[in-house]
Amino acid sequence: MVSRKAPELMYAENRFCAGCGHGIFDRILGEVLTEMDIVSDTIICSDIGCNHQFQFCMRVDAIVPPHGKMGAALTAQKRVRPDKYALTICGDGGAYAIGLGETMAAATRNENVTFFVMNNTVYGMTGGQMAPTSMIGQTTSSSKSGRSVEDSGENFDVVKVMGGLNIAYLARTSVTNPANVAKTKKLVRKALEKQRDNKGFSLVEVLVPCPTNWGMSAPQSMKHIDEVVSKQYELGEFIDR
Amino acid sequence: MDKVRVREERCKGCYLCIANCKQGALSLSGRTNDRGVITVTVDQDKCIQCGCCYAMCPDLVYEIL
Repeated sequence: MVSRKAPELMYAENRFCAGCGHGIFDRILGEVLTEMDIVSDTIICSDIGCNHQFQFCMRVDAIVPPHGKMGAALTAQKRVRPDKYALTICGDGGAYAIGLGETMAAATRNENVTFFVMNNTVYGMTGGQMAPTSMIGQTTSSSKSGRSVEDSGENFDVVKVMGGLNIAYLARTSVTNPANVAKTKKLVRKALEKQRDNKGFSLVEVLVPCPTNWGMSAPQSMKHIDEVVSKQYELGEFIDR
Repeated sequence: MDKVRVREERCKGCYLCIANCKQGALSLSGRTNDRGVITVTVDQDKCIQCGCCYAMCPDLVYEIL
């Protein structure tokens, strides 16, 4: 029996809401960094948003660029310090809305950096407004009668957008049950190994719950991801070069 | 000997652990921590140390010993 304890770099309690998927992902990343023995060789580029709070619970180097500019900041970081792992924990708002230009530019150049995007289909920190990733018909605090295609267009699916690019790794996973958590850990490790082997751009999208803004309990929101969100956003590995 | 340590002071009350415990070893303790949350207790006899509570807890409440 392998004992399972909090990774050493998780030095404090996190500040996320109850049942937030970010807390689960941060622990997964902490475990992977510890197992690969790269904690001191990692600089995490933090976006503005809920994800930013990893800095208050993880003992790891971090930089904070302007909101959404992780693609540009990671590029600079990796080119200046190629010996360090350049990765970001960011949300769907930062990576796909405010920072879509930077994210796409980094992917188009196939920069040797890693994105971990927490997709909860809303702008979590600002109060659950509609994001590009909000699903058709989804009720949010700024789309009370549900998202309509006529008004807001179709939802943003990173696999459709990046599927044709010459990048190293693209996958989508979730953290809804222990099996998916174990799978997510494998994919996170794989993405970092792509960077270690200088393969190029890697992006792992994680479907996480936002119980606070979805107005559900944590177990209900996990069920919602399994039954509704992951039907719209298919899970799997889409690019693996 | 205890199989799982529960750091009750960390619990925020999402209860993903109870929902994912296949053994039914977790239940509400009836105690309240400093956050005002009713915490979770482990039936050490039913526990098989599968680690599902550890995997699902966003707040690192559980340690499998």
